[in-house]
Amino acid sequence: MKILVVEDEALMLKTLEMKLQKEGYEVICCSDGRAALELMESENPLMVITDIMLPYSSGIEIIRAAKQKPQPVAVIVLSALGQESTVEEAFEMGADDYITKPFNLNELVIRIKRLLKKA
Amino acid sequence: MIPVFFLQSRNPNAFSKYIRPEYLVIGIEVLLANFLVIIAIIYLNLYLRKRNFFYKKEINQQLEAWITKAILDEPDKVEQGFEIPRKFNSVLKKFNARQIVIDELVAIRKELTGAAAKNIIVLYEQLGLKKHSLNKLSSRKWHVKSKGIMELYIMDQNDTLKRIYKNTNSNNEFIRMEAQIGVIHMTGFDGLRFLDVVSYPITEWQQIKLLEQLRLSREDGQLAMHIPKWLRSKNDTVVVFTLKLADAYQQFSVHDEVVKALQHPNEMVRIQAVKTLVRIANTFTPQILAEHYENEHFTNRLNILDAISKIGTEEQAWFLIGLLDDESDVIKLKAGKAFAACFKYGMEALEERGKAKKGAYQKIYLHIKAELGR
Repeated sequence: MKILVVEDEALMLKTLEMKLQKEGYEVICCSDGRAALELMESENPLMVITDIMLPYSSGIEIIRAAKQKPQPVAVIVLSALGQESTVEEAFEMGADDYITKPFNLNELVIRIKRLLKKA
Repeated sequence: MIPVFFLQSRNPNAFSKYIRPEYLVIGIEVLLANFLVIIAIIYLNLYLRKRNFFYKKEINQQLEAWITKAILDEPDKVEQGFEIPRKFNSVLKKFNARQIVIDELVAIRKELTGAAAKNIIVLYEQLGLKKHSLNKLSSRKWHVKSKGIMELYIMDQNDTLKRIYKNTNSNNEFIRMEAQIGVIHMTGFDGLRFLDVVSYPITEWQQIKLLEQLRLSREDGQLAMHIPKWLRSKNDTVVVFTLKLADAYQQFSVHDEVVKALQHPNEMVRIQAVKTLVRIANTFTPQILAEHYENEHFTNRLNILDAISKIGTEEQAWFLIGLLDDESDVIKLKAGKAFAACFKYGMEALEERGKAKKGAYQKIYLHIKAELGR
């Protein structure tokens, strides 16, 4: 199962990549919104895990693009504390779940499994 | 103007009236030299930045994979300590490299909790980076010192609490801010004891940051015990912040102390007291606010009317009716809104008044009707 991870912190991105690979997922990574939109078109991931504040295109634009695709793409938003209104906007755009930073990696994995099971 | 004049003049020696030719040459030389120095400084700055960028990138590339693997290690393996590659040790002997690694670990520690966060802390300690952060606490530069404080509390180095706590009343705003956030990060609501002693102002921005930090901790019921003491603080910003705490954590038991704050000489305190009273109101609060109205300045009078529109009862009817004839249209509007919000037939009464008196009353009625959607 292919997951696209979008995060602008290099070490965090690498950690998420390795954690999800360890869990048996195929992981595609990128650190900015523009590249994420391109990868979503070319790689057709089943799920997108995205930060909200990103260079070039925001997480909200990524959610919008994911929800416009013909096949369903689940979206988990990584938000920071105090971004409640943005998270609300993300849900309006169709995000399926969110997790607030700082978060536990195992909790993220549980949420991924739950969402993919639903899909 | 001078060169234009010189060019336009038929006399080639006209310019020498203003400056001697040899001085002109010297002037041009000085200008050129300055220009070259500026170019050289810009170039050197860009070169150093570029070198720093690539150095940072190189260190990150060398360490990223190993650090990530360490972060994801199982807890039982971590107890024995991480096996540190030899090349890693030699890299960490360099001051800049240590700072780059700390920056990376701090950034990722801010984003993770649980086992991964514990691994980051073990890694930080095992690599001897704590010493690097501790050294910063002795620095005379405020930005170095506040960075050191931040690194230590993010890495949960609770044995440094005393040293960080000492800086909560530092005369430097940024050191003070970081230390106050640090003690709350380390000890939760207990960390607020710095409010007992802080003599410098707590800025609006700092108050937001402190409240944000407190949201990560659980309030254990001790807050109400400390609030009356902080409300008596000589530092007005402590009083304002305490009122915000009472508001955010709905401390109903301190209602009477908050009412006393309505008599505070500082208007900012009184404004916040009105806002807090809305959140911790009891049946007496609206009437207390109505009676206090006359003692207030214009801004806080508006706040009181806003408060009454949220918590008011029929007891405030005559008070609000009296304000419908106030000379200020803003007061009339706010009083009308409160009147319509508090009473069942408030809107009808306003409509009647609008018809009878026309002019501003009609507009006020229509405005309130549109705003309340009735």
